Amino acid sequence: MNTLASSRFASSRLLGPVVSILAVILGLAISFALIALNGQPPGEAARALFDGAFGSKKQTAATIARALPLVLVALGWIVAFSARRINVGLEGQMIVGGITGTCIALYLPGVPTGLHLVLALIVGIAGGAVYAGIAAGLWAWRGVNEIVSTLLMNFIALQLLSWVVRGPMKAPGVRSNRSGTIPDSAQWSNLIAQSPLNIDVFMVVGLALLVAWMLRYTTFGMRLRVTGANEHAARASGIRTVSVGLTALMVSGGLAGLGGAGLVLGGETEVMAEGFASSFGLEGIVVALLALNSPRATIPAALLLASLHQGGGLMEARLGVPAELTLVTQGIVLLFVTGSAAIVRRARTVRVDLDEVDSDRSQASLGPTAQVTT
Amino acid sequence: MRPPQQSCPARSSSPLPLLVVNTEYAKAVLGSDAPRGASEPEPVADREPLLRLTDITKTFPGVVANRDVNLELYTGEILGLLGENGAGKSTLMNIVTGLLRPDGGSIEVNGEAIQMRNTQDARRLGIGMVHQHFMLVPTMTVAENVALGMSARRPPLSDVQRIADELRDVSARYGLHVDPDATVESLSVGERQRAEILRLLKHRAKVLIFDEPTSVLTPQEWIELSHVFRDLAAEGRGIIFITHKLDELLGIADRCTVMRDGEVVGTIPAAGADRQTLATMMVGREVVLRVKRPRVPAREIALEVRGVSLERGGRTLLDNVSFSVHQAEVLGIVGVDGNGQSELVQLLTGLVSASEGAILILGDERHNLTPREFIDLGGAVIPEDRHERGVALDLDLRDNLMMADFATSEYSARGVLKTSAIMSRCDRLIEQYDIRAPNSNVRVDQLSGGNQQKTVLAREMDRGPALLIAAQPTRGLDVGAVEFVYQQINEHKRNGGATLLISTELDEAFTLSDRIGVMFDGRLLRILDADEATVDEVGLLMAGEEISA
Amino acid sequence: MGVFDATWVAAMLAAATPLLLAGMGELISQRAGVINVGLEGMMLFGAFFAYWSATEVDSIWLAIFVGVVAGIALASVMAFFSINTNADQIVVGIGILILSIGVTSWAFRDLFEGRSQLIVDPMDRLEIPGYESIPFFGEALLRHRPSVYIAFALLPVVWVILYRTTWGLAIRAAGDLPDATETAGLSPRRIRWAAILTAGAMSGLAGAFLSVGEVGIFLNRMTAGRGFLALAAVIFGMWRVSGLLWACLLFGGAAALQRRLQGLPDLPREVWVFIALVAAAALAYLVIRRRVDWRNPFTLVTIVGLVSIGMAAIVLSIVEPSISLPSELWIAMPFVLTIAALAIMGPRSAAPRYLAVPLVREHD
Repeated sequence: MNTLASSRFASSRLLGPVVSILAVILGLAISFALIALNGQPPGEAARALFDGAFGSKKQTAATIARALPLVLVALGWIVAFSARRINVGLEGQMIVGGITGTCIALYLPGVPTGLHLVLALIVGIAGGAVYAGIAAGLWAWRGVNEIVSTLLMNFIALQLLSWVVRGPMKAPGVRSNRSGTIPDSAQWSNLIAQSPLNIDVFMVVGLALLVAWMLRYTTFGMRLRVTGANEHAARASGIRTVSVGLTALMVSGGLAGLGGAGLVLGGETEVMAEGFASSFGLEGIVVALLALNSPRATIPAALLLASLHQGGGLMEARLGVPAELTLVTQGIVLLFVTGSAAIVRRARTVRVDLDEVDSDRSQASLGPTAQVTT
Repeated sequence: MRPPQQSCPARSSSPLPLLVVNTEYAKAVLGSDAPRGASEPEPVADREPLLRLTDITKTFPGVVANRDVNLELYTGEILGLLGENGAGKSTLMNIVTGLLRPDGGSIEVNGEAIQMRNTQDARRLGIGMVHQHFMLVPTMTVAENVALGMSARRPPLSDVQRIADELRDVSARYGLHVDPDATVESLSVGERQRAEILRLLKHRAKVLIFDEPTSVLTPQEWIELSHVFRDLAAEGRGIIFITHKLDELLGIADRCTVMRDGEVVGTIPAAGADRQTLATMMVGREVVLRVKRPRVPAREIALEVRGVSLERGGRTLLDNVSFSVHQAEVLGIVGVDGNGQSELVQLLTGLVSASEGAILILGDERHNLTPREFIDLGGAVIPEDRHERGVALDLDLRDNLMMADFATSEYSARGVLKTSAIMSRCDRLIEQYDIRAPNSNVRVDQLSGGNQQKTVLAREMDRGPALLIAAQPTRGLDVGAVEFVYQQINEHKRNGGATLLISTELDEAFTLSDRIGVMFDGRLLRILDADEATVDEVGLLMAGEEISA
Repeated sequence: MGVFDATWVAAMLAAATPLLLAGMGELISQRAGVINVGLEGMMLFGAFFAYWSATEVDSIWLAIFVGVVAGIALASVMAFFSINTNADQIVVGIGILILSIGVTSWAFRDLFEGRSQLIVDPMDRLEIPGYESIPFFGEALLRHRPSVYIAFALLPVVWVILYRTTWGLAIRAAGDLPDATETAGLSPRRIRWAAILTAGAMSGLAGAFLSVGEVGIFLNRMTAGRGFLALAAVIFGMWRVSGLLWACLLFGGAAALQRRLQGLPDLPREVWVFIALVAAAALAYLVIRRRVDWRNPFTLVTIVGLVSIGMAAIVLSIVEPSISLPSELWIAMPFVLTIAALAIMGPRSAAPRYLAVPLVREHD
């Protein structure tokens, strides 16, 4: 065992996370530079950003609460991407999951607390999975590129939501376009009183660990990863790559659906209204890429992006810097991470030629005259 | 203006064929370089060659693709470039057409040394090539493809219309019938090739290079093409055509340059050339037996292939192939790459379906297989391109070793992988197959080629398969790894396993095989006993020459 | 004609205009092999920067020019990351999208919020003389803003570029077989760069026409998904110029119809007839142009589905029930149609073969 080679190999594995961290620093740096250019004090802005995210117990709770759906969406992206399927329709799947979950919450009265919530969540997962399944089926049977279909289905879902809260699911007697109030029996209970943080934090963290475990230690995860890494080799090894891709997309949609249902059932507003899932779809993808497609890393990455969002609000309140600046930060981070991916990949492929070390040993056994009897 | 159609192309003994040539048209197309004319034949040696390569050398990491290559092409001649895969022909032609830059040596056109920096330089110098895989955009018409990259008379408007008209003239002149306004995807393969030639002519190419032009043609189309070659040469152009098929070479070429292992073995005139000599020049080398071939008494048939044919896109890729492989036997199939070997492997491993015929694995008759069935019936395969089909570069060693077996009850239970069983298996395999890696977590793209191939071997052989299909198993491997692979194959044989070895390396085939078959043009020409077969015989078969039994 | 009066036709053309402009740019880009998920962002850039300039300078056309330049600027970021670093086009597009929403919203709110609303005079409609005298078509065609005429005038220009110029040859080759461009001595990377910048310019123009030309002010996210509609239009039009035109007219017509129907309680009869006609047209197109494969079950389902929709629509037009289709259906319809068209096309898609495939150099 050549320890020198091992350490050379180990250092190339660190390159990825370093790039992610650098991307965040770069993004923040540029954002603060913009603030400074605008004549506002960047130092105070930074402090506001931090305070908004973690300043008080309530704010920290809000940040964590916002991070949870991001984690779920990111997990959805990762599961699909493991099989090299690109699901950009996570926001649409969130919406559909939210709608179906809310249906159970609102229209199934008299179900005991706890069970009601669980049922609603399951239906939410199913909704997201089926919605993703439409695109997946079109891919599997008609060769329709899933990127285009999932992307466009986002907008269909948005219209569906709009129709639903104005029409069939509209709360009677209320002016605003929203659903009826979700009964307590179907809601997540608060972890910290009067805060948006619910006990679903445990579920989400558990799911992140579960997905990580699934990818590495189950046969299903194996099928996903082999299909994603080399489809030809997977097929040659007897894996049915089309069903794997189909399943991957549906699981992905299910995770997003869970996120959507959780947003409604755990939200502070206790109703479903238009735009409840807005921006989570794209932001979740940023989380996944920032986490370098590692399920466990989605937790810190989601916290980071959530804190950006929450901090931006306070930054605006205190300094008048429009909160949308954090979107600029996000965009820069994403571009930098994905732009460096090619470089990271090339660096990782440096051949650790251990044969060089041991070649003298093997050469000795050869020789033009030696006849190795085997 | 064209000579009358003959059943086989005329081959005269003089350096230039005696043909009537439209010198006015030739002048117009070639500029002032009117052909020397059939009326003034000059001895070959006194003329300045149209193209001369001197000591061309090109090295890639780990391999010398061209070593001190010398080659000359004279106006009006057709030069055949003969060699197997890996002989260096393609690299050489890529250098001549400006796609690659040589590490050493010089290129002269009409006696003047030139600097070839890119494909545009080559085009300007009048050098053009028709690649084996056509560079035609399918959704554009022929005329549009020719117009691509050409400067227009009134930019930015393209001259497609004018070019189409000119192409029609050239097309009629040479009998290269193809409609310039037809989209490429609607054309047959022969027509596409004609379109490529038209493109070269439109670019006023004086040196025309054809890479394995006949691999996609019917015999009739080849006859027509050879007439075209004759016409083009008669006008004073020079033609190089790359092939591994002796029949075609001798039927059309004036001289023959043979390459092997990156070097030029020799250049001889085609007239009166001895086929055996050429074949031996192409493949001949001393077969060094480093590993002794174990002799095991023959047993029952493990794999039988009966009358298998494969058609795709109108082309016959496999033509009525039949053979059998016995247990404890190695059947080696040799041949130049592209004669159906890849398709045969894909067929046997379940990746494509046969148009006709049956496959019997251990008595189980199938018309078609799935990869899973192949594995379950006791098959194992070392694919010819380990990066494409063998290993998953982004996964670690452990995943690659377990890729085919992770779902068996030994390594998983109710969907969950049995980590300890897997780890101990990986450790055992790493040890057993001498895979040089720090641990099983290393990503496979960090391993050397030899270790990657060992990974594939380990994965496939640990199943204890009854039938091993090894396609180019030692391609790109260092000596130590090659030895290892041979040992594994022999071990498999001693354990009673059957092996179908597909290889372009003759010495490898002779080292390992009990019987040797030769594939050419989708057909399995002959199967010879390895003890009795000679390299000369095999070489001839590889070049398409049927030898008498 | 009922709902489908001259006003509707005029509204259809006006709604189709931004889709057409951005769509033409995106068509060129996709034919060269690049898909711009961030097209909406380039439109937003054009909209905002045009508006900003309009508040500073007096010339509306200068402001529009700035919008175009802004679109090109953002497009160059897209081009750099997707071509020079070989990053995934979709992900880069998402980054561009987020970035553009961030930049435009931040800059708009920073510069303009709190101030009294600075509304710029939008472009006047050209009233081509004599429009009153021509029945129906006068109102429908001759009373548009210059943006509409420019968009439709550019359409044949784009057609000529793609099919009659050397540039077009290079673009189409780059999308279908980049190797051929290299053999011909061209650089597929440079071709893609030019194509992406074109998409940026045209969507910047579309955005500028929207903010400065039509509304007179910038609003956060004012493009409201038009960029994605343009993307869908390119795909629905099967990557052809004529297809793009039909797609934009269809999408624009649906948008105009939706707005028109908002005031009405019931769905008027002529709309049912319209639906039946569209179904019939689709059926005719499939059978005549596509040479239907009758054995394929999916095709059969599609045919049956179209026939039933058509017949149901005819029945409904006679009965004229008191129902109305939700406006959301009309808004979602373009996306549904595009996916349906892709599904019907199936594996033999007309997409450029190297669409979204990064250009990786193997040798040297």
